[in-house]
Amino acid sequence: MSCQETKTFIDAYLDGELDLVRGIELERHLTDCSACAALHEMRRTVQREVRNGPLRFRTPAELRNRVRAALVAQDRDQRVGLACPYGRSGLPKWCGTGVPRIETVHGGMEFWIVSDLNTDELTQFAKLFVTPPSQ
Amino acid sequence: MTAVVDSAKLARFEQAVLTHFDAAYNLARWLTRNSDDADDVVQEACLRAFTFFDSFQGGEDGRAWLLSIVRNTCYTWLRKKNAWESAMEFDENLHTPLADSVDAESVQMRRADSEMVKQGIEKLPPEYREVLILREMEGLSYKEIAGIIRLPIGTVMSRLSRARQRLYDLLTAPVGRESLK
Repeated sequence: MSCQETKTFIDAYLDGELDLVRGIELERHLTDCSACAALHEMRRTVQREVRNGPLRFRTPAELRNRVRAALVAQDRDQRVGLACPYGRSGLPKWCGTGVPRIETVHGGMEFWIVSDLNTDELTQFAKLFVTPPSQ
Repeated sequence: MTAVVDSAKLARFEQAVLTHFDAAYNLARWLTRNSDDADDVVQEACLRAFTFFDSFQGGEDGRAWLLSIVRNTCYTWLRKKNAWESAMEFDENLHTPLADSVDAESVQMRRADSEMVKQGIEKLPPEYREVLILREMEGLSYKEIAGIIRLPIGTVMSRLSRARQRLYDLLTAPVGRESLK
C-alpha cells in the first residue's frame, strides 16, 4: 500500500471500517513508513481526546419535562382535532400558529392565511375550504 | 381523513424514539453551540418526529431516525437565524486542513485539556463537527452517519479525516492554540 492510499484509508482503519485485506496491507505499510506511522498516531490521539473527554452535554431535566408535556398536548390536540376541526382558540386547526384575516381586495372578500403550514396542510385546507371558481 | 391518533402512539414513540433524547440533545447542542437554541431545536424536532411517527418503520433505528430529524431541524433553525455557515459556502478544499502530513516530533501532542478540545470542535465547520460528534460520541457507523447526513460513505470518511486533521492543527499549532483562547 502506498503512502497516499494509507492517508486515504487511515481513518477507516482506526474506526474499524476497513476490510480485512486492506487493513493488513495498511498495517504492513505502517511498520515500514515512519511518516505514515506518525500520521496514524496523530489521528489516534485526536480520536482518543474526543472520544474519552467529558465532552457530552448533559440534557437539562426541565427540557425533558417540557418536551414530554408538549408531546402530550400535541397528542391530545390531534385526537380532539379529529372530532372538531377547530382548535381551542376557536380558529381552524389548519391555521397553525398563524393569524387568519379577511381583507378586501378589488372590491371582493379574500381570506388570507398567515401561517407556518406546510404544503400538505395547505392542500388539505384548500380541499376543505376553497371552492373552485364556477365555469 | 386522518389516521386515528391515540395515546398508544405516544407510548410507542417514547419507547422507540425518546429513549435517544440524550443523543438528540448532545447533537443539537454541538451544532447550535448555544443551550437556548438547542432546547428549542430539540423540542421542535421531537414534535416533528411525533407528527411523522406513522412513517417510522418498526425495524428502523430510532436513534438514527431522530438524529436525522434533529440535524435537519438544526439547519433550518439556524438558517432562519442566519447563524449557520451555509452548506453552499462550505468548500471541501477551502476547509481542508492546513497540513496534510505530520512529522514524528509533532505527534507528541500535549494532552489537551477537555476545555481546549471542546473549543477546538466548536471552531470546526458544522459539516466536520457533525460527523465527528456522530462518530466519536454516538459511536455510529459510517453507513449510519451517511444515512443521517444523506451523503455517500466516502464523503463521511473524507470529512472525518479532515475533521481530525483540522482539530489536531487547532490543538497543536501555536497560532491555533492562541486562537482557541
